[in-house]
Amino acid sequence: MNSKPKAPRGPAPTLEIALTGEGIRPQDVSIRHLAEILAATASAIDAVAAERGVAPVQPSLQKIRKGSAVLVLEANDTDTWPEVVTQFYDAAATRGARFGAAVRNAFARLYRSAKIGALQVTAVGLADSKRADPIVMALPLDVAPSFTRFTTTVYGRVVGVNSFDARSVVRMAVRDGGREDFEVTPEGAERAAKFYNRTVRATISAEWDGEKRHASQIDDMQPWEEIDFLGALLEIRDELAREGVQVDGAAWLKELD
Amino acid sequence: MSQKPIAVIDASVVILVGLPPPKLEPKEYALRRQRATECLRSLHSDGLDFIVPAPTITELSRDGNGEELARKFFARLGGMQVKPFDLPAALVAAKMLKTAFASKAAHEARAAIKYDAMIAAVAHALNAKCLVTANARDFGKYLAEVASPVELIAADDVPQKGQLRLIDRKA
Repeated sequence: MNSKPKAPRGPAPTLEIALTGEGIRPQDVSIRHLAEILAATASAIDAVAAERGVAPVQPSLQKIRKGSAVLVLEANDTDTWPEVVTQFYDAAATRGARFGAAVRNAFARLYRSAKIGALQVTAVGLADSKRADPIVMALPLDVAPSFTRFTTTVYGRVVGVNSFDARSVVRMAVRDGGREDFEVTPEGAERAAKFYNRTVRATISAEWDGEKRHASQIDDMQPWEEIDFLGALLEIRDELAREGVQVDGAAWLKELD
Repeated sequence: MSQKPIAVIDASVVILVGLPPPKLEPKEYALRRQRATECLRSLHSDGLDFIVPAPTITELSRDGNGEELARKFFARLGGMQVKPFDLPAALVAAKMLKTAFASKAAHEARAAIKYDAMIAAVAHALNAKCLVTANARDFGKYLAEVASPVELIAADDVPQKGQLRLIDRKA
C-alpha cells in the first residue's frame, strides 16, 4: 500500500486566557479563583467542540506567565486542537453570534469567572493571521432562554421525601448515576414515601435548555424490579427452542443491516 | 462529564442471543452468537446496566416466526430499563442525520426511518459508556457525526480489549 508522507506540522497553537486589569498580578488570583477560571475555560472548550462536532480535547495548562496572570493552554491532539482554538477565538470575538445557547452560556460563565478584571483571549500560532489579535471578552449576546417541556423515564431508588410549605421534593438515586431531586405534588410525595428505599420507574416531565434538564417533576411512579437481562434473553431462547420455533437469524440480521 | 455505566442494547443483539440456534447452524453464525452472549456476560460482570432504547423495541417487530421472539421479549420489558426516544435524543438524532440527509438529492426519499441513528442518539443523550450491537456498520458513522464518546462494541466480533474469550482461543 502506498502512503503519502505526511506534511510536517508546525508547533501546536496555544490558547491564552489572561486576567487583565490595572495592577493584576498572578499573586492576586487565589487558587480557588484560578480553579474557577480553569473550570469555566474547560466548559467553554467542551461546549465549542461539542457544537462544532469536533472530538473532545483535553488541553493542559502549559504555564502561568509571570508579570501578568496569563494561563497558556495547549493540547497534544494536533488534528482537532487547532480547530477548537479557532472556534473558541471566533466565539469570543463574536460574543457567541452563530453559536448556540450551550456555547453562549459557557462563555457567559467564563466571562463572569474573571471577577476582579477582564479576560483576554489570544490564539497564538494559528495558521490564519487574522486571528492573531488579542480580544478582551465581553458578555455573550443575550440568549432568550428557550426551555422546552418534555417527558422521559427515570429508574432509581427513592432515597428521600421532603415536604415543605409550598412544595414537595423526592430525591432519587438514579440508576445511571448520581442523585436527583424531583418536584412532586403532596399526593405524589405520600406515594413516594411508600416506596422509600425501593427501586421505582418514574415518568417525569422537565424543561430542556439545549444542554441539560431543569425543573424536573415526577408525574407518575411505579414500583420496579429489574430482571437479569442476559438471563431473560437465554430464557427466551430456551422457550423458543422448546416450542420448536425456528427463525433464520442470519437473514434477519442482514435485513437490519 | 464522566460517562455513565450504561450499555445500550441494539435489536441485533437481542436477535442474535435470544433466538435458538438453527438445526444446521453455520459455524460462523454459532461463533457470533456465542461471542455476543459472552460479551453481555462480561459487561454485566463489569457492573454495566443494560438499557433498551425504545427504537430497539420497534426494530424487533417482524411478521412470521420472528414475532414470537418479539412477543416474549415485550412480555419481559417491565423488568428492563427501557428508555424513550425523548427530546434530548431526538435533537441528537437530528444532528446525526444532517449529513446523511444533505447527501441525498431532493427527489430521493429522506424520510426512511433510521432506527440505528435513533438508538445511537439515545446512547449519546444518556452519556452511556457503550452501545452494544451485532451490526456495527452505521453506528460508527452516526456517533462520529456528534463526536460521541460512546464506545461502539461489536458484540459478535473477537473482543478488541482484554482477554480473548474461550471460544476465540486457539488450542
